[in-house]
Amino acid sequence: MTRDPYEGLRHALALIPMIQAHPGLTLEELAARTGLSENVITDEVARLVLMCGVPPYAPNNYVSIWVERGRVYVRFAEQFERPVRLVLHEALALLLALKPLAAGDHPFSEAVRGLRKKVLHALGPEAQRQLDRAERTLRGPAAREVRRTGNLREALRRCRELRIVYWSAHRAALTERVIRPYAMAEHDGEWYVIAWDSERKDVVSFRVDRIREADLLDTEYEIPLDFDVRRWNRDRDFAPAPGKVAARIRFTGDAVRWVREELPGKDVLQQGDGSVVASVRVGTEAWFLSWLFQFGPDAEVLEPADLRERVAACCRRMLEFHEQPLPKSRT
Amino acid sequence: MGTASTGGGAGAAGRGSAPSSSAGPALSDETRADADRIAKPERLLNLVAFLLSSPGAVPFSQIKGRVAGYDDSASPEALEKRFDRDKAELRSIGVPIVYEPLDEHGHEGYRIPREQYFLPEIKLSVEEAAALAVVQRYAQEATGDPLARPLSSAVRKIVVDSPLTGAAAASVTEQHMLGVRTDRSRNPDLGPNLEVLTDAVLRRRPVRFRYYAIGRDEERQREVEPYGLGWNDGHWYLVGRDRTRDDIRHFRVDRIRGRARTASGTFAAPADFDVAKHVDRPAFSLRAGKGGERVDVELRPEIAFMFRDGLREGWTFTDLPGGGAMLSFDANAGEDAMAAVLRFVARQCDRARVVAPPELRKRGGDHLRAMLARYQGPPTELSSLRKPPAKKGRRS
Repeated sequence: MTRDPYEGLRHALALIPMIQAHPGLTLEELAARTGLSENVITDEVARLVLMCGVPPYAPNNYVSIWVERGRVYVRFAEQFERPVRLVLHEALALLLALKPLAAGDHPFSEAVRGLRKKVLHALGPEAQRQLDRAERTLRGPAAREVRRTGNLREALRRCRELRIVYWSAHRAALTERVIRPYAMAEHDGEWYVIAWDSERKDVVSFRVDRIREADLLDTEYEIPLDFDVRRWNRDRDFAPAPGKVAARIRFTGDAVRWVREELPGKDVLQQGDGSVVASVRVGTEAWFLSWLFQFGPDAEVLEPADLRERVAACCRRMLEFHEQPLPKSRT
Repeated sequence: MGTASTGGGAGAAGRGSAPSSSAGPALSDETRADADRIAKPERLLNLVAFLLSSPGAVPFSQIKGRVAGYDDSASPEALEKRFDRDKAELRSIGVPIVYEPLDEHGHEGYRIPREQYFLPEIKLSVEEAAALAVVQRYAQEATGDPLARPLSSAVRKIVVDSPLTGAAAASVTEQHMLGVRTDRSRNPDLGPNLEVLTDAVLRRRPVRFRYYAIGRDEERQREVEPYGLGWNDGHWYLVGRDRTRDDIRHFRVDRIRGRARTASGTFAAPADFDVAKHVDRPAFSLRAGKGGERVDVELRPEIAFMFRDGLREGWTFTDLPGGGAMLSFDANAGEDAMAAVLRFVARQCDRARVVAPPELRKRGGDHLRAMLARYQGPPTELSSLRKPPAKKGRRS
């Protein structure tokens, strides 16, 4: 990110009214509330306001932020009663971030709808018009809506077990199991439920869109005190780990360019005939096959031999399905 | 007003009176002459403090020579220019400075209208405050999102009215068990281009950049009217009118080579443009206003439900006897789209097949037979291939 030349000023204009409204907040709470680090507050912002005052610049004309026994105070800053109104970029960012939460079906939806309404109201009609257009031109990663959670929401609210029918990408099969949902989390544009899985005897993530059925059971459960959804923030919590098996794959034609873009350069070896041979770690085989087949005949697994055989077997099943009689009813 | 009473000297006094930990270097009168300009953020903050604390409009003559940052030895013209720049910069961060002409009481000058400056109170319920905390967490983590910074800034302003302390907000968030996450590791170099493009979209400024079209394997200069910017399936896309081709195109932001720049002029985007309709769909799916071809794909029972629940606009889903389903959609005409449909079907492995149109179905069969042919007999012998030739020309 490029540096924002007004960052310190923005921080000061937001922080001063905050401290005035809540004098004596601990530094830690002020940091959590404002999303600024303690260092930024005590060093950058406090230092900036030290030089700020009004004529005639007598001692009591200078704004001063200080920390006393871990608590933060401000004085001589009465003129900074409130934060600055939201500018267009800020309002837009906020409304866009709230949008998917408002549209979805989860414990917060109603609160988020209320919040959006209040923010819009505070903006005034001109800003609302501009926002209306801007909302249709920008759409970030947080924009995915939570779809059809049904009983999942009830289970989370009332801490009741769920029996789910789930498409396991790992096994490439529908599976049935009982789960205790602890949380919902969005990762990389997809929604997950993080739950205790009675089958694996562990807390794992399930993609919400892969749950086919969810029946609410009568059994209640408690969420362990040490569970913290914030720990579920790494790729490996959601995506399968790279496996030990390294497949060697030969790519030809257009696939060469796609592979060069996607894979690290050191894993892709150029061949004399224009093809490349890439080494790819196979984590979940079902996932691997799906990735491989998008290249069609432009990809060939060379080794290991048993993987090559399973790829071939899957190709045969694909062709078999393809050649079956077509379903009668076409609408 | 003498400059001796402003700025550093008194600042040191102010510092000394506060029970703050760091004393900081006090500026003597001699060093003040060298550093006779205080840094811009301080000057802007002083200007805002002064105007906010003044009961009415203040003529520039009372700012000049008085407010810290306007009290140095610069010429009157330079000071006025400085003031004009500062006004514009403050306006960009939401601080309005307006000029009020002479009124009947003989006052004229500048003021900050409080009703335009101050954020109106937004009373938040506990649940709303918790939702805000969720969004704030997203802003802190989604560093690849060009709107993360304005989002943080917005939340920081609004939480002033939050009934929750930071710790309570965090704990409510956990009780409600909702986390917002995004992949932070991906595409770390996009930041500057995303910022330029976001700004261009909002201000309707055309952009220029070099773009690598992977389908055609060529890199070319493009001039685009950016209608919208959207994210889908791990990638950022710019959607806009390509001026050379006079057509609406999609550009993957990570395939922009070098830096995107705004060009001069402005443009009008279609009033009903909605970026979600463009990016939230596979590449083969019909773009607005284009003639396409109806494609039917049969899905096996075990995966059908995932498509039913995530149906895109214009797609239909029909149950088939036995639990499977038929997925129908309009695909773009042309070779690229047809190839993309086959990729989409192949990604479902043996759980999907092309049913219609007949030409595509035939192609799907050929495609599968060609895939299978790769595995008849032993693997392609690599040792029989020639060594790669030394790279011609551009060696670094």
